Amino acid sequence: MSPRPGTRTRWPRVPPAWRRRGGDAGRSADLEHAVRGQLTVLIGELELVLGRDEVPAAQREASARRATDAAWAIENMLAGTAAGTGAGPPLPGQPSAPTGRWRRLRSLSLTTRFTAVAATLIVAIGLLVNQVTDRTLQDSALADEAAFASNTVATRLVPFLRAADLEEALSGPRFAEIDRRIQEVARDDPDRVGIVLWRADRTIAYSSDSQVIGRQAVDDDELVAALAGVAQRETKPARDAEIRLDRAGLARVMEVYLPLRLDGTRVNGVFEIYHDPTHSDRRVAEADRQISRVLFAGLGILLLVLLVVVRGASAQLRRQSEQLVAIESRREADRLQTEFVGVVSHELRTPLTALVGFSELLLTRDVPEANRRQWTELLHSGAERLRHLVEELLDVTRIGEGGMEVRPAPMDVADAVRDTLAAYGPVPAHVQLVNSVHPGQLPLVLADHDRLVQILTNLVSNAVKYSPGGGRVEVLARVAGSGLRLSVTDEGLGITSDELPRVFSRFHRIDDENRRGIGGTGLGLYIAQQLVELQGGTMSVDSPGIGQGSRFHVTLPLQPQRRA
Amino acid sequence: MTGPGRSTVLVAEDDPLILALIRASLQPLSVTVLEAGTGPAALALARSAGPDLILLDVGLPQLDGFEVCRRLKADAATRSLPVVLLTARAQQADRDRGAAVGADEFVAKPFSPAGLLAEVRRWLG
Repeated sequence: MSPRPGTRTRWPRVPPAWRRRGGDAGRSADLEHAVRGQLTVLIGELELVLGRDEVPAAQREASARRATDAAWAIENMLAGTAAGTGAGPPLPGQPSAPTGRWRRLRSLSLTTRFTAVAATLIVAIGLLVNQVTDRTLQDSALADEAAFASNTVATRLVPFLRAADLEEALSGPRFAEIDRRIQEVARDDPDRVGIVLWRADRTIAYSSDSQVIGRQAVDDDELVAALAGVAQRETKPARDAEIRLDRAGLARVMEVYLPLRLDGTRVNGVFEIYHDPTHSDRRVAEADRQISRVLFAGLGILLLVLLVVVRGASAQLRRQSEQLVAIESRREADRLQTEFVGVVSHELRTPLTALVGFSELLLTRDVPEANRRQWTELLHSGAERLRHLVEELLDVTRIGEGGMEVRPAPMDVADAVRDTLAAYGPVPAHVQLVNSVHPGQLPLVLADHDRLVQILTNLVSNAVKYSPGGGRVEVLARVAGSGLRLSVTDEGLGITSDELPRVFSRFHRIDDENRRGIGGTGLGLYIAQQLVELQGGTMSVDSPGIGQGSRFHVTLPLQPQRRA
Repeated sequence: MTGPGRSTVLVAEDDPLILALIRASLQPLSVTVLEAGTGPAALALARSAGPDLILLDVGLPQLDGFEVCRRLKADAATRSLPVVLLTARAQQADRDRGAAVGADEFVAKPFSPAGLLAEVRRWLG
């Protein structure tokens, strides 16, 4: 009855619906549903046992068994008997990763987890107590029976039966003495006791109770065997007993058939002692049932209290953590927003200053033609910067909403590099911009030309921007594995290893003395990386360190066929 | 100092677009415009050229405008040079910070060329 590992494999641990549905969310919902189902069975069975005064032992056992099964099913589902834990064979449709167990556990609500654990504990403890009391009952009944049969009867009664035969022993003045002794023995015994003396012809010669003297036994194998000289012992339900004790509430009868040898050799008859071990058992059983009832009720209450407490605690925890998360994310959002507004307003103000300033100059001053052209160009340049900034902001919004579109097609990256550098404005005199990607020399990639130009423009612009001391800015490409790696390298400020993982984060800008005053929104690399990934590529960065330049790499998937 | 009749203005601004605008704005003044794109360059030029006025952008690379101003005002040789801070952030905090490091005036972007011209004229007398 106690839970044992062997029972685990017998229960359907993975609900079919769970197997069918994909995704963690569906799986955890199904798992939770299945666990709740088993919990209903478990609690129902417990209530069944608890709610009745007289639960037949068989039914109690069956209920307990079903409750245990349900508890095991829950345990199994929770544990998932994840392959590799050694707890059981791997389950179909279940991930074999050892982390699966914890992910699924975590996916259940705290309440469900606690309910399952508490219920499993209740059943386990209840069954343990049951088993112990069962064994105690059995042992004590057997001991009683043995003591009664062998000692009491034999030592106290047989000496009074000394006679030539049973009829002689039970006749005359000795009968009263024997009957008195027998009644005394019966009365002294803690069990309800009856004594019958059978004749060799299997009729009743004497009964301590209301049995009919002279009644013939029918098909009583034990009696026959005892008459043949072999003592017998039998326990049977009262309704099946040969001898019906006229007492209410008799459940089981223990019968002992002792061959009666009045002369010490021949079997003259059989001494049947029957008693009702359930009479004494019943006292134990009643106590046991009381204990069980109190135990179950207590544990039930404990479970309820636990549920209430856990539910309350988890709700509170959830509320608190939600509040914390909300506060944290609001703080972070606020911080980012403040930073973003600061950066954007700075970035906006610069081109805006140029627009306002140059348009005012053109409108209010009598400007020589040479200046007019130059200022108009600068005005245009400011407008372009403003447009670029707005584009960046729109790109970020589009990426955030999943509305960014890319149309990859077979292309030579050299075309994109050429177009990038051709459209790139004048570079400072101390920066040497080198194109090392030559057309027709590399396999075609699958990429969106315009987006790739946008990405490269950003990378080249960064390389130039962060090379205030000048140096070489180079665009290179080579085949790397199943992709083509485009790199933009510079000899500029470089990036510390701490900063490397964060350079692609939205709004992130490296804040150091050298970079102060270098404009940027912290959006360019974020957008570039998102664009690369949308095209099935990857983006990475490395830098030997501060003052030693940076290398940004874009790896794009090759077109399946290579250029001839 | 430069010769009589022609003043020198040091424009410390890293953004070429703004630099060009300041140049254009100051065109009617016939002043000599010196340019510096970084904080250290601005400091060095201020010390070596001794301009009549410094238009100092707060967002300079390597050494920001506030720090350049602080150092100029801390140095006896450059303390008397008037400094007009240019900033994109028209916030009170920036004004306070500018005042704390000894800036003489404050011009917020976007600025009007006429306004800037008037400001420069005022300082050059």
